[in-house]
Amino acid sequence: MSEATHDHSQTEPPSSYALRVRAIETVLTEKGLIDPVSVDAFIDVLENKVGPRNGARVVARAWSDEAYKRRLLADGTSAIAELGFSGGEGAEMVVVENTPGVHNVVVCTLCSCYPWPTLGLPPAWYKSFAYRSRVVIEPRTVLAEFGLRIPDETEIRVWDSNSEVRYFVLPERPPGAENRTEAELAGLVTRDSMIGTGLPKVIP
Amino acid sequence: MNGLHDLGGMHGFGPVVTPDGEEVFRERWERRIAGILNLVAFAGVCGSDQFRRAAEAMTPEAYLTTPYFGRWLHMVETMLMENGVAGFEELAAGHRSPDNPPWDGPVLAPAEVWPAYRSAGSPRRETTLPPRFAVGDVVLVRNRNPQGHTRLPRYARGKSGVVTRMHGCFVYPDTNAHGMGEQPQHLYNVRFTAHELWGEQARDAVHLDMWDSYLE
Repeated sequence: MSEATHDHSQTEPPSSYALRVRAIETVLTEKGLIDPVSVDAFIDVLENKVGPRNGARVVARAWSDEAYKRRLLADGTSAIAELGFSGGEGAEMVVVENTPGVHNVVVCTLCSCYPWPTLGLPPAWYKSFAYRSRVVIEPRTVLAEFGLRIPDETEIRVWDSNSEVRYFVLPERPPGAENRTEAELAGLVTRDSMIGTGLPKVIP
Repeated sequence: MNGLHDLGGMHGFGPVVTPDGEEVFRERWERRIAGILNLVAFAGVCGSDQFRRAAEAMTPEAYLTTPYFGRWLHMVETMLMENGVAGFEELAAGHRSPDNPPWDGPVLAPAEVWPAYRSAGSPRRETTLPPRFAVGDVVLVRNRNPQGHTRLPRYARGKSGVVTRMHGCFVYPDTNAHGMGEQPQHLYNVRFTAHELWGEQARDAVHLDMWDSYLE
């Protein structure tokens, strides 16, 4: 395209990040290491196939099936795979249970490790320097910033994901959840309740 | 290494900002690099330990000012060059040099992406080595400051905790990240009280995974 015909309505130049990514994609495609359609397919995995909807199904099953919950707490990887969820950044899963005396919260202080098959890619705040630096040293203050006030008599357990084991919080079932279907229960489970920075929705 | 990435316990980053309705990606290039990084890993160029080492090797200034997926971009560029897959000139020019051979390793076809992702392997390894510790044992974390990659955060070094879970035997990142072999060893989950780590009287605790070599 000559300068004369260049469409100046697109005034935003591509960022240097965008240019560098385009360079990598072109070089690797020309080398035959990647297929751009496979890149699309992987983006589809990350945007649509994994995500907190999967984790919500795990929690709902545990809330409605005591035997499943026992399997989930004993061997998270296998029990989560029973529902069809497995894969990268989730090949080794440990599920930790919130109880009236214990509140669990997950972080990765060294990078941003997060259980992709059940929760998808992490939200920006999970990757932020503020969350990574502070939740291990002042968990109560950080949780209060999420609107979560943990009673003094409840112990907070912070799980710093420094290995390839991925931690997943099983929140407490909200009161009044008996006689609800699994699908209804899954609708109560928030992403943050499975990280430990939130609670499930209250039953109206 | 004692890099800026090792953030646990630092002060000064302000409140945690939690916008509503957050999307996984904001910009197109973030999507592309996320897909590319995963495909580069599945092609066998390198794994998570090497990628993390590349991010940690950024200067502190660069680490602080580069957005999250910009660090992924840096990790991919570094690993492609380090492993001889693409040269600096090729990445700068945005085209493969005819002097550089085509890729002869595995390539994921579009239909193979989802099955490959779902069956992604674990760094768990078989071992005949007996574990040195058992659940309930009190352990002391070594005080070590390696120049290279480690998954032992500074805030736990020299601290004492209790083994709460035996994970089994796992690839050791401190050697694997440097191409010095997997050297798998036992991995334990260790509970540290807030009092031990921070001098706080709260009943709270932090749990960390510890490879055998991290413990006295």
